[in-house]
Amino acid sequence: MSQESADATVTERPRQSRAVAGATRVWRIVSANSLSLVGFCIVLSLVFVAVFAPVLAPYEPSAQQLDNTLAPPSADHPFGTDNTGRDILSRIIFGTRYAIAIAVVVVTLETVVGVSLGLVAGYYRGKVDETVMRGLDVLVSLPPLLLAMVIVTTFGINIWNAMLAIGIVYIPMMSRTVRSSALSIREETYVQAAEGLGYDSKRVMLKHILPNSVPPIVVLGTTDVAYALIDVATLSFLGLGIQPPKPSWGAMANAAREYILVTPWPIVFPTLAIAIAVLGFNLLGMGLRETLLYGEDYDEVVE
Amino acid sequence: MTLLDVDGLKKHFTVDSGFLSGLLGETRTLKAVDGIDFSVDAGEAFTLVGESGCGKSTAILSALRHQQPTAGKVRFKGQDIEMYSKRALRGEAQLIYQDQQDTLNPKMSVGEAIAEAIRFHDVVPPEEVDARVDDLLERVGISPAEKYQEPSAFSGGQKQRIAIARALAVEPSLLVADEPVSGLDVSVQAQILNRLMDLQEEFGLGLVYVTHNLGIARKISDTIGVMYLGRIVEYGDVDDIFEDPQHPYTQALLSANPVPDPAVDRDRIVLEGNMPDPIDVDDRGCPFVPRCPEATAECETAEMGLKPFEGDRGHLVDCIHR
Amino acid sequence: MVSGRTLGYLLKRLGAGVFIVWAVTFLVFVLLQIAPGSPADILLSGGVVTEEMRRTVVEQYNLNEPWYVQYLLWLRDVVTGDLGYSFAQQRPVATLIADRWAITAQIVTLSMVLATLMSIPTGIVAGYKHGSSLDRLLTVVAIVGVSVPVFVSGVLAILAFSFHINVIPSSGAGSGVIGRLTHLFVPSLLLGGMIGALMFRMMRSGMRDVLEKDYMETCVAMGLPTRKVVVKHAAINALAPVLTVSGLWIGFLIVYAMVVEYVFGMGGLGRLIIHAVQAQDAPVVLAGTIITAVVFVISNIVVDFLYTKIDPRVAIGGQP
Ligand SMILES: Nc1ncnc2c1ncn2[C@@H]1O[C@H](COP(=O)(O)OP(=O)(O)O)[C@@H](O)[C@H]1O
Ligand code: SF4
Ligand SMILES: [Mg+2]
Repeated sequence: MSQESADATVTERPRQSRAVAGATRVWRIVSANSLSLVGFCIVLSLVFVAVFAPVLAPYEPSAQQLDNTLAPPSADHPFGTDNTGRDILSRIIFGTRYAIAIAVVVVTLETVVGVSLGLVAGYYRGKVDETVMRGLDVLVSLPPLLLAMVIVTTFGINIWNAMLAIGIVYIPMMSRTVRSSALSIREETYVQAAEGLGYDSKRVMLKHILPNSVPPIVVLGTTDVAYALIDVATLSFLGLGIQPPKPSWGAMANAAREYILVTPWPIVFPTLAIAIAVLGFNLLGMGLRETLLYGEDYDEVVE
Repeated sequence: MTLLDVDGLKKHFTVDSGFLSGLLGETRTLKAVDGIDFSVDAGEAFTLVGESGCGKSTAILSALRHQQPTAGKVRFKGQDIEMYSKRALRGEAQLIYQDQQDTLNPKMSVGEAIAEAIRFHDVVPPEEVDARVDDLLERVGISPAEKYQEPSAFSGGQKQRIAIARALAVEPSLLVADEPVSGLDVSVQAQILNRLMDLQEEFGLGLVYVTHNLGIARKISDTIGVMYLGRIVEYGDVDDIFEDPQHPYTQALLSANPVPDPAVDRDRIVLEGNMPDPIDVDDRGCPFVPRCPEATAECETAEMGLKPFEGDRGHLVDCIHR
Repeated sequence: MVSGRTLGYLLKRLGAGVFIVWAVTFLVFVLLQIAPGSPADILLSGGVVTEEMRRTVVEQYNLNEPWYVQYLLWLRDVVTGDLGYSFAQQRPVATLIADRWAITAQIVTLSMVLATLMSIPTGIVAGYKHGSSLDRLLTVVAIVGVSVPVFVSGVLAILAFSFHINVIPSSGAGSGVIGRLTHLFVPSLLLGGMIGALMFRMMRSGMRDVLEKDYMETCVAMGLPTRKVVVKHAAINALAPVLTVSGLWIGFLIVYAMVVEYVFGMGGLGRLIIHAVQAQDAPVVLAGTIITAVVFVISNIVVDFLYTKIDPRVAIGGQP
């Protein structure tokens, strides 16, 4: 209760404090669970590294040192160098940007397209729902990675096609989740009341149904970023995604495969980076699931 | 001025009764509302009373196009209600629900909920919205300082009053309240009812009130319609109904739920059985036959309909023995 | 036994399955049409193109006809088992796939078995004792399990085993039953670990949900021994969603089986299809997609059938 009144006074103050209140709220939810706390720290570090990559990286990611190739970790090159003498640490640092870009693309497509479709299907029900859901069933029947392969085969292998393909294939699960949540929320009295006030369907969907389906959207979106990172890394590892010499982790691992007999480091560090990034989003998603969807102290934390 | 004029309103539901008949494509018709007439003037409080399940909610929901009626004509301010856009109609006629406390979006501050209604219906210029919200909250006894809170911060009675404030925010000319205080503490009930009556008087609203509680009906209404199995069986001024009830059902209701009034002294009439499902009702004759202490063979086949009692055009009864 | 109602339900699901396969063929066809470059170019890319090859592809895919005629004729070919011709490899796609599907199928099966063995018992225990330190440990292991892409664990396994321990063969598919199994074991274990981690999570939360329902308390109150209650009621109830989801995962499993195969240098569908994508050999990729959709649909119908045996609500005709 005291927490709530504190919130209310904060909401009255100008925008800046509202941002503070929002951040406090996020922090309260995230820190409610040790899984999400660790995950959140990993994700936050990724964002930090991606933003400050030029400052943090000791070398240019593409600077070759042909007299110092495939070097093991040393004081000069903490993660060693690759087959053209590029600093692996610097490349991994810049690779963070691709990971974050993938996260952004997937989350954007999922929320813009996936959430809208789910809302519309769940709100209008009937024929609209049937049509949308049957269409999505078709997408669901194809594994994300395979559909992505089809798209890059027909549209060409490049970073944008790979990211878009992966983004598209995560839409159906989000739509289904939002739909089922919209289906139950639209029966809530407050939605009936919103319609009783004459509000148009757009307003009812966006201002009354959507805000109440946020928890499952956040949980699924976070976990999906983890899967998308795996998929794009796998695509790049297979040479079908982000292409060398771009410093994406998957492409780096792919390029290093040839030299695995000579030295393991060029493949070990990028693959570890992938695993850690995926782990970060997975932990965050798992923890949020516990807090937002199951938590006994859900009300305390969220309200 | 007549605000709402309901004529021959029917609402039938198709129900499939069980799995086997469902397979055979057999459906049955549930006549939740089976031809009712009533009208409400500006400033008038009309109450629909009847046992739970007699069709009160369905009647008002289909009268105001929250549900599509099966048949009937409804006029609002003299114009066919079908001619109104949804937005225009909801700006004129507001509904207060039975479980009103749950009508507030849990993720929207109560102040915003009221402001949204004001803005959507263009009630006042944008810069006056805030002041209007504060004013409305004050009127229902909520401190405007609390407007930034979400509904979970309020008690049931407070939420009820906030929702009433929101319904009033659109400045409707008709307010329809469906058992708005059931489930609340008696003291809170009284508070809210008093406020509702004050507001009705202040704004000159037409009020349609729905309840199964005869005490409330008597307290709040000018006119009353007694419903049984989807029909209005008796209609009249509040005094006619409570002091001179004519229909055997009304008489039974009043004797079973005595409303304190020393001037009236009645024998206790006990109704037998329960109100049947509106699904098993015969089209012919009086639907009250199975439970009516005065039923005769004639009642089973007679042509039914509301008729003036003793030539009084304001007091109507649907019983062939009156 | 299968009641009339269950049969009707299964028939409905079968109809939905046919629709899905049809829609996948249509989707693939549409992608070919809207992709930059003419369908002929896309179908031919991946090799040196001669005028004669161009004529063949135009003829085989009826590229001079209107699009719907092209589609219908192509659909007729697909239905009759003619999956097209790989110009890059100069062989019919059906032959290419027939030579290679077995290894992929074996990996998929073996990893499903391993995943089940690893995840169901642990999921039951973790869900039953949720919140305990054992539960926490298993949960963290499972999160790490789903976080490591199979190509990563594959590469690390190859590094660890083949070069430093030198016990487990790291490349090729092996010969003979024993040889094949030892070759398949590590890739399947990695893949099974990933799927198993997902199954574990579902099983665990399924157990939790079921155990928190009132009727479980009623069972306990009625004096049934706790252990029996837990194992019989909760586990069977928790298994139903896991089963459904494993049906949905089958396509995912096939593709990731391709990836591990590729990493371990085995000659299954993985190598065929991944090389085809790299070489932009469209006929092979499209055929692979359609086959995956068919397998997906069939396995889901099987799952639906099993589901009617587990979950009585479906058997009497509720929604799945
Ligand atoms: N959507 C519906 N479908 C089928 N039957 C309904 C529906 N809504 C109401 N009914 C039935 O109509 C009858 C009248 O219900 P209602 O109007 O809610 O009564 P009241 O408000 O007087 O308690 C009841 O028998 C109820 O079961
Ligand atoms: S008509 Fe007959 S059955 Fe109906 S109320 Fe009158 S007396 Fe009773
Ligand atoms: Mg009611």
